[in-house]
Amino acid sequence: MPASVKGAVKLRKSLRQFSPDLAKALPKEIGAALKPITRAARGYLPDDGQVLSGWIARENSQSRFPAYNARLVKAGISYKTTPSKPNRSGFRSLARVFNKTAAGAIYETMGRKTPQSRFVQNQNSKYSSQMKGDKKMEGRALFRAYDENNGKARDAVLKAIQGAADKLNQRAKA
Amino acid sequence: MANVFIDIAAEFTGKKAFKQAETSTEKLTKNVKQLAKTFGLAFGTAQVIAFGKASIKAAAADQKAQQQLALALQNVGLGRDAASSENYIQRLQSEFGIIDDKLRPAYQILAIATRDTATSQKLLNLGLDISAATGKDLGAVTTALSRAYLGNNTALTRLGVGISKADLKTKSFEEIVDQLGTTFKGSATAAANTFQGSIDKLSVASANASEIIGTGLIDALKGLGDQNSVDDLANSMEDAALYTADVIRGIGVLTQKLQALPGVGNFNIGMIPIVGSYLEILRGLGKQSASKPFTTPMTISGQSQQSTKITKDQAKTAKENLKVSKDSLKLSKAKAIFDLQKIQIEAALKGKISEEDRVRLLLMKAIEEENISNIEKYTKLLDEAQKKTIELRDALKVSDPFSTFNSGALNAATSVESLIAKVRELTGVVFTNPIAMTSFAQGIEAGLPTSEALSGARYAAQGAAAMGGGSVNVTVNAGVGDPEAIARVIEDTLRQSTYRGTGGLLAI
Repeated sequence: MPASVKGAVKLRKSLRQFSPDLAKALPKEIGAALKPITRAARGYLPDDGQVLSGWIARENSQSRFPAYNARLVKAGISYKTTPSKPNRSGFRSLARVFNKTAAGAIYETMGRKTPQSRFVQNQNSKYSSQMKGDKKMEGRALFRAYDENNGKARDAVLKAIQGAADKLNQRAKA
Repeated sequence: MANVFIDIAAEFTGKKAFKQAETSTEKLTKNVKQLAKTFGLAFGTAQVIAFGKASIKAAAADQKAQQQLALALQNVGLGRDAASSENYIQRLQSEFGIIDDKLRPAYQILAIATRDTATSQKLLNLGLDISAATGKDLGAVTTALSRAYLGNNTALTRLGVGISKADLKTKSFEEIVDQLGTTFKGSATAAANTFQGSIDKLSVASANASEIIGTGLIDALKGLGDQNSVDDLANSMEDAALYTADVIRGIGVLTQKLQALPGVGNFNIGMIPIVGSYLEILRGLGKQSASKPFTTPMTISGQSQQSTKITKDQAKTAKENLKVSKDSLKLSKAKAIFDLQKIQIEAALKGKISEEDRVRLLLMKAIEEENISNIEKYTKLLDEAQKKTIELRDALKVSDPFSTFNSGALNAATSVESLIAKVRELTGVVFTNPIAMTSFAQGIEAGLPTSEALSGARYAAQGAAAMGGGSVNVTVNAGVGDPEAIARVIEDTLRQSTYRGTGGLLAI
């Protein structure tokens, strides 16, 4: 459950308009807070040799199941600090970490519903990072890293946004 | 498609912005038409001014209520939830058709009582259900709920919500709330879906529209800023109303004419040459003056850093307190280890002691520990034990067992003497030799027959005679200068003499 911030999108616009330096500094500060999560999450992903041989990309394969490529999967774990489009509930994300590749998502969540399936058990016997988190936030890489971060990143992001707002208000008053 | 992401922070910007915008535009079109009718056709200038005044009043009252609620929440430590609470009230308003003027005081009462946003919202939802089902005033219901939360159930019984006094006495507040929730579940929603509910929703929308217009007028007042601004504004409003009414009438006529033309679809005011441009500029100016960035402070709800910090601080303080209490406990235990008095008492208690002694020791222990209740208890027990001892002593009281000892011994000596005299009388034996007489007496005392006793006496006398008239010189062969060795030899000799029956004759 993300922390709800009111007025942050408007703040970003105002920062761009009135204090470009703060507008540049804010994403950097947010990024610095999110980086530990993505770095840790990449560390929890297996290398090519640690996944099932049939899951690795093969030449001329016509398989529709997303093949695992450690380099791409690790590169797919990242963060963004720009406000997103509103979701179905009307919320715009201000800071987000994501695991965007299909194979990465499979590794992240496999066994949530079917821990006894052959694929999951075979992969677990070869290599598996511990599942951490709760319900929809349960996973092996990104969710685990977020869980182990204990809200430090969230606090740092909120602090950065609040700090930028305070600075802008101070400058406006001065 | 992979959909694995975590939103760290988010902002609510409204559901489906485009659709909402479309709906809003449609609503606005309808309202404009309605306003045109209302302003232009139905009412005159005086009504317009009266409406303006009422709108300003409503907007001011709404603003005041908002600020009061925010202040009340801030005072009870829920300041950071003020924005979300306001959103919640707005949602309830549109969902159930109950005006915010009723919802805010109700929410405020609950927030002050519970000091928790989630509980307040849960109880307000319950209050809405109860109010809808029973027809009671929402304020009365929430007051009763807040009192019940604080432990006063009387108000709940007066509501007549089907809770017995026995239930109120035996059940916890949570259980009562669950029961009420089950009883009145969905009442507010059902009421809102009726025709009356729809009318209520419309009246809420109307009140909101009035407040919104009033807010605009207040902004305009603020913008003028002169001493005579109200009069000026009133005059301006009057002129503007007359002007607007005429303009709206004109637009209505113009729209009809334009729509009658072939090829003209949806008509927009902005499409009118020159006049439309001016109106658009005016609209832009109004919009610009209405949206002032950061006139209200940015709020962060959910688990913010500040709340985390407070929680951490509280946990730290609690931890420190716990450590201090643990340390003091350890210290007292350590002191107890070296408390000799206590050690002695404990050691004594472990030994085999009488009941009275045990009570005494326990009393001493209680005095050491300064435990008043134990002191009283053991004092009483000790008194009882002492009384019992006295009773026992009285029961076992006897005369001095040695009081007759001397007379007994005298009697025994007399008896022996009389016995000797009797022996002398019976046997005719006269002992001239004291050694023989003593031997004879000892033999008789030992229960020997008289003949054997006499025989023994004779041997004793002979033995004494053989040893030279009653005195024997003994040469002790022992180390010179070793008194212990000499004493042992003498002792052995005497013992052997005793074995022989001549011990009483020996003298050193």
